[in-house]
Amino acid sequence: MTAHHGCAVLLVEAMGVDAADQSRMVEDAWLDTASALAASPGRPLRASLLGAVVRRLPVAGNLGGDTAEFEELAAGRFFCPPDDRWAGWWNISVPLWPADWSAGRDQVLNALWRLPKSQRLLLVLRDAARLPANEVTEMVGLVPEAQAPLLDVARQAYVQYLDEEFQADIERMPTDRRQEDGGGR
Amino acid sequence: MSALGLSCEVVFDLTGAWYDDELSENDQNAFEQHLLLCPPCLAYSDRLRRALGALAEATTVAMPAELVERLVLREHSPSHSGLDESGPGQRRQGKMRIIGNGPRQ
Repeated sequence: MTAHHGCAVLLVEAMGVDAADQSRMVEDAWLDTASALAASPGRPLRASLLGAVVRRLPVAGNLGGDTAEFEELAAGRFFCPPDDRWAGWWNISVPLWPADWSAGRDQVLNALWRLPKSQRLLLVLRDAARLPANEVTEMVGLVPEAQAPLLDVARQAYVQYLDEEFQADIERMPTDRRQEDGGGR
Repeated sequence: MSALGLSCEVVFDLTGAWYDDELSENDQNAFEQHLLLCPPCLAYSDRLRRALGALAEATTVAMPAELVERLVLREHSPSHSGLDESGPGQRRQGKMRIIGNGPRQ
């Protein structure tokens, strides 16, 4: 129960619902879910709850598109261009994150908020709530084959933005620790 | 596909499928051999795994007791139970169905 609730809370926060409305939206979704399950008890609870949240979001039914911007950005920034002798190899340094660093909840949300809403929605449903693609299709009307490229781009952008959160952590560290933790890229 | 035949850009594009365990056995071997030879790709795949782990961790939020109580009250109210012998606002005793752990003692 708590795990399902946590997914619903993360979804409304990630989608930028006003803080004042978040609790009400999640509670209404729970009440809808309870009613729906009374009528058809076999439906998975998490999918039912998140479906009820999604129906309340303005972005519902509007997934798709908006991958081009990040794809272009990633291609230009991350890898050597086709006319380079190292074409297709990394153009930037990608150090390991220190083993003792983990992203906090606020940092996860900061990274999510930089994504287009459709990507946030897909990332939370597929990777945070771990819903199968067919359940997500029922909620947002995007077939699994169409979810895959959108999810890839959403993940790539999310990892990039979370790395920027990591870099900000490094900047806040005292200089001696900063060098130990590989912030000098 | 072989490890040496994969550019980092291709590995980058395959990282999601690798995370989801959707690569064929051959592709997975080539992918993982590339990681052994390529520290940046190893670092990137580790970032993806940890970033998505942090996303799942972010769902750890306590469910407010008031909400649980409201759901239980609603579930056991006469208007939802279909019973009409008790008056409005009276709670029907019984085992909670929607909230899995049963009513608080």
